[in-house]
Amino acid sequence: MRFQQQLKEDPSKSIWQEYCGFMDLDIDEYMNIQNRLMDEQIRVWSESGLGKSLLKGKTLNSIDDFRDQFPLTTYDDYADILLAKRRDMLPGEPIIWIQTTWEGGIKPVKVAPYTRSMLDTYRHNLSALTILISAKEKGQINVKKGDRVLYGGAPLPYMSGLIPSLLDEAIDFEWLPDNDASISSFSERIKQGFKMGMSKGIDYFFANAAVANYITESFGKMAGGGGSSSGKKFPISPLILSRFIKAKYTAKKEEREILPRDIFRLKGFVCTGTDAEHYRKRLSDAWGIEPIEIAAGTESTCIGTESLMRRGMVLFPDACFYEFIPQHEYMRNLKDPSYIPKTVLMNEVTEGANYEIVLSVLHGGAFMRYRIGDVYTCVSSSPTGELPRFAFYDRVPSIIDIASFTRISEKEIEETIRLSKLGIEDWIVRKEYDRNDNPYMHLYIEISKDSQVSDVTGKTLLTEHLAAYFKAFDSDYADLKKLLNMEPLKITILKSGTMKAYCRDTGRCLAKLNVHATDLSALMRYQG
Amino acid sequence: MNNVPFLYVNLIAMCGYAIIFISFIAAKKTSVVKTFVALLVSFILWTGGSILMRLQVAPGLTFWYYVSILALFCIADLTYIFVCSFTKTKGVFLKIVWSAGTFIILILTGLGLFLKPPAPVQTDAGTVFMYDVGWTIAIPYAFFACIVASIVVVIRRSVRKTGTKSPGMNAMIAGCIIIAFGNMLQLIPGNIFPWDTLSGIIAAAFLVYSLYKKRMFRLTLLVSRGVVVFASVFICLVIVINYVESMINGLHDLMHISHEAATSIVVVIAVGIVWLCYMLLSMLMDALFTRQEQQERLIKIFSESATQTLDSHNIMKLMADTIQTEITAEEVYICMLEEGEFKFKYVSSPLSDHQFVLREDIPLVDYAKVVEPCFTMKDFRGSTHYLSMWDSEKLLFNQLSISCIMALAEQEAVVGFVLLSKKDKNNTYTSGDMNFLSTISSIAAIAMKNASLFEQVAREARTDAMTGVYNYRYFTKAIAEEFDKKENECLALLFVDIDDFKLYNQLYGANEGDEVLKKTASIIEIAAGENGQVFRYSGKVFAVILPGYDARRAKTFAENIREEIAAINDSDFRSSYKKITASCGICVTPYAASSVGELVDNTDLAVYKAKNNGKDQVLVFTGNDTATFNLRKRVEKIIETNKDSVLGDSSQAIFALIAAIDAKDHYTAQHSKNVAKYAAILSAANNMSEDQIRMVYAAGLLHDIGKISIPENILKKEENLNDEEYEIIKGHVNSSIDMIRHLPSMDYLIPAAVGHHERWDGKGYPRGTAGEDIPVAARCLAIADSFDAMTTDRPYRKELSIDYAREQIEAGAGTQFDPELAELFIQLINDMEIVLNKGND
Repeated sequence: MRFQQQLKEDPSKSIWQEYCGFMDLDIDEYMNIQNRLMDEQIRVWSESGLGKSLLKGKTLNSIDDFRDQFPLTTYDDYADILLAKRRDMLPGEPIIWIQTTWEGGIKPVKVAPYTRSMLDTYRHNLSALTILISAKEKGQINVKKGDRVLYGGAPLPYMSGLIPSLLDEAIDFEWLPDNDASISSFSERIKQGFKMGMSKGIDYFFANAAVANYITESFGKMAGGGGSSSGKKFPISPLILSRFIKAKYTAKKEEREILPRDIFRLKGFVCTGTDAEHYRKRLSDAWGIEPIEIAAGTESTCIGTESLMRRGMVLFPDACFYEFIPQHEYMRNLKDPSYIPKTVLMNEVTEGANYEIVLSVLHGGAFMRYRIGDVYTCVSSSPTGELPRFAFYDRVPSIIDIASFTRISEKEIEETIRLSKLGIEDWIVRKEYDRNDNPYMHLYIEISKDSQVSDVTGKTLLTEHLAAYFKAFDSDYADLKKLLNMEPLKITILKSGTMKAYCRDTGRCLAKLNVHATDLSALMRYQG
Repeated sequence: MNNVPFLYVNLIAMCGYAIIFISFIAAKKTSVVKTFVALLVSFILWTGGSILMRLQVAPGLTFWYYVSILALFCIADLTYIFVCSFTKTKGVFLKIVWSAGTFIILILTGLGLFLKPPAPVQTDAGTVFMYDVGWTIAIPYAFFACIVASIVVVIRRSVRKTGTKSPGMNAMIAGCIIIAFGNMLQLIPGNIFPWDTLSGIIAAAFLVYSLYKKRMFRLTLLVSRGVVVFASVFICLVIVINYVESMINGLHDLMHISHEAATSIVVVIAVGIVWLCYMLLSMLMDALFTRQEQQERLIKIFSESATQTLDSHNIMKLMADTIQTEITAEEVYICMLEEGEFKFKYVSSPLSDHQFVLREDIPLVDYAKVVEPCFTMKDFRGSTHYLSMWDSEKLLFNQLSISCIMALAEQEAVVGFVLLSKKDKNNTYTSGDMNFLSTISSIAAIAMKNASLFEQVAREARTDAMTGVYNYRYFTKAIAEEFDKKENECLALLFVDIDDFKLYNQLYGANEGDEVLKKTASIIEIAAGENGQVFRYSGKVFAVILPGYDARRAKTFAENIREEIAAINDSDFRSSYKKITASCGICVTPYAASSVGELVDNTDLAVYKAKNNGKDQVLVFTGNDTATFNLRKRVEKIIETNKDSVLGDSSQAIFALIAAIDAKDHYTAQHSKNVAKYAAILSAANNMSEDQIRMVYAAGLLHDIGKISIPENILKKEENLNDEEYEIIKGHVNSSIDMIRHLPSMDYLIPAAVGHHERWDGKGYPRGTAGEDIPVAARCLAIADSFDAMTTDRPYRKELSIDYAREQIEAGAGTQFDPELAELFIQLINDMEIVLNKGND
């Protein structure tokens, strides 16, 4: 039965129980679901060509065996089979292949197969999400057929493009924008969606946090008709018009810009992406509703959502089998790649600790013990058996993620610097946030003595030159400027030889990526 | 306004309300039922008051008018309270507000503020009641409109909360809409029909139905046939009273018949109408109300049948049949917990090719334990338990179109599941179905438990614990049953006897011996499959009953088994162990046996023959062997079954003496046993009685007992004895007699024992008696003694061949031995009745 039909026919209590009941599971019940589904996944996966090739002749029958004897994996382990789309080697028949970029532009796009069962689970969990984001109290169902969703996600074959398609299977929402094939550009789609929202109203807003922020910041301009020179025109509804007029008056009176909350009464607001937490407050202020954070990824599907209380995310028990690498373990592994980090399970995490998440995708998924590179903080872990809750902490230290648009690795920066031929002798990089909490990549560089003499090495020129190379090299990076008007690169030029001298004199050689703030301060002090 | 439609519509309505009211008097008084009964009372007073007002019955029009209008003005508030109860909405504040408001309205109505009593006006069409309607009537109607609005809000909230599929919700909504609609029609100017009353009775019917769907009462308790008769007669009376006069007049005018004839025809028509009404109402009642009766009847029949059988398959069939009689499930699957899995056991359609196994930890188990034992797939899907269902399990349930699941629970444990596929025409499982299924599942669980316990006990009682095949006890029953069944067809019995098993145990230990037994049992079971039954007949002997097998097929079957047994120790670490072999004997009825006893005996004999022929072979018993086979078997049985009586009270002393001899001279002890056996067989072949055979056997055991007094150096001397030593040896006969004489009740053995060295020609010792003067028992012993002496190793020489011994006996016939007995003995050797015993007894 479709979710929509259930909304019509079934009692709220049973709908809540079916979709959001997992929130009330105790940890033993949760682990029981995890273990049982993982049992099936191990069996199905081990019998597949992919499983056999990765197991290399081993026979692993239990979860304990698997965790003891099967190593953690990255996309490199699957690339041969998945990039060739070898359906015959997979544990389940893929219905769709979802793609994403792989280390900027260095490697080809990553693809991930989705089985029908994975999609069904994903749809079920998305339906749960719509209930949770719109409910004001437990058991309340506020979702309705025909609700309008302003959608700021990328279309298929990207993962975010699955959300409208899957929810269409469940309920007839009105998507803003609709599937108008004539609109190919992402920014045009956002604008088109917003215009439709102005015409009909908006009930839900799904977007990457940075995109949501961009829309929010451009709201006055968009609502005022700026930037709407192209695309269809939509008649504005009298209700919206009256709200708009009132909002204009109020904004003028309060000497502020007109805000989305003046016009729209959102039922639910979903933000995704690594920097969602940094955008949360301003988005809440602007839209009058606190955005809910969800965890989703190309390889993992949608794995978690915040509850009504917004006290961190609960991970769906039936999407993936979760393992967690404690911080000291993944840091040790970072320093010594040959070290095999130990993992803990959901019932072993402790409150306040950071963990890199490791996933085994259930329901015939391809990825087993897969490191997606996200670090979560366990914000709540009750000894009474309540489910642990997590908040996104950051990407793993070996990656710099800006607004979830681009994931920049040390290799990519090295390559960009090499290609730019700017005579950069040494560098370190950190992800930082400006005073408005906008993320950016802060590159600390040293210019070689020769280049200082022979080349133009002004800071602005260097920044523009490097940014141009990043954009050329990494299309996701380019999108930050193109779609969100973000310039996420800032450069600080250090005295030539500082880093080497610091390493030599203090014995503390700095990592290239995400150097710790205290180390950076020490370096700056050392430079004098 | 015309009086007539108001009268008869009100009469019918009041009649309907009265029936429902009477029916609900017996119902359990829940808050919903109470509010509904209050609503009914108000309906009755409203319509009743209206009727009596129009009939102007005492105490008068005004009184009945106020009864009617006050009751009518209560309806809105009572409906609100009823809807709140039905939807479990609290709404305390509004209840107080609406009730208080209604109370005030009633007082004001009583004071005649809103609408005064009507004035009857006589017209050509009859009495018409004229109301003087002023603007004030709008006040109560505005108030009632508020109540109606709040009813709509309550219903709307409830629908959002419970969904439109909530039991009885749609009927309740329909009832409320109808009554509201009827009252609105009443306001149309110029209306002369009492739509409000008509809508009231229809609404009441809908409300009754909604309560029924909500399982608020059992209709069978409330509606009896008496009530139906009463209702039909009453309705017809109302109709007849209204129309009888016009019908009589119509018939009189139309058919030009007298008033009397027209009256008679109208009476007949009226009776016909009553009968028709009764039939229609009965059918309606049957259609609506008797389902529960049918369910109860089916449950009763199932309960009686299920408790009368201890066959689980029968119970499953009964259960599936009962369910399918009442619920149109396309298929019923039953699986039971066995060896840690829920194994498919039964399906209602014999042509269904679904075979499946569900894991013991399937989430259905927890759901059934925690939530309820009988549930729909939809409910299960809505639970968190469903999250842990495997994709393969979901797929299976989809393929089987499973819509409802019944757990068979034993105390706390789920021991089985009944899976019901979707209903005919995709109808959903109702709460009535679930109640029925719950009851069936409770009964079935108990019946299945009893059957299972019985089957377990029966299985244990007939199963050999170590090998898992049937035991000897069940063999005796099974062979008799199969023999009866296969009276005119062939039935083969095969015995598989493991060779030298005792030696194997001694060499490698009892555990290894047990392993051999288990493997042998497994080999035979696999080979037999569905074609035969396997039994552990005795320690190392397995029996296989093969119905429909002739001798050739049985032999092929046995040869295969023999070969597989021979390979038992080939593969693993036991390859260095002694090779396991088996001797197999077969007898097939009706060719070689005419009774069960004969079949078993002959098969046993075939095994003996196989053993004696050198083991590791299959022999089929044929009728020609009967005499000889029977002879030796008979002797052994005579001896074995009467050992104590053969040896009498002295048995302990005799065995002690034999043991003493054995310790001193092992040869003599074994020799005595051999001689006893050979002589007993010879005496049997000589048609001696069982007592004589036993006597010969006992004498054989004791005949050399005197050797205990012979010095060991003489007994075991390897060279030839000198004369003195020979004399000492000859003295053992007298010594034996001296010893036997002191054994209680054994003196009758003395003639036999003393004569075993006498010769037919009189040249023997100690007495030198000849011919038939020598007791026949002694003559038998003499031949047996010589035969065994020749065919066994002696201190002074190795054993001689059996052919040599046979020649010597033949040569001694008429001189040393009784010629007839000697000839008979040789025949027994030839027939392999006398076979050499190598000392393993």
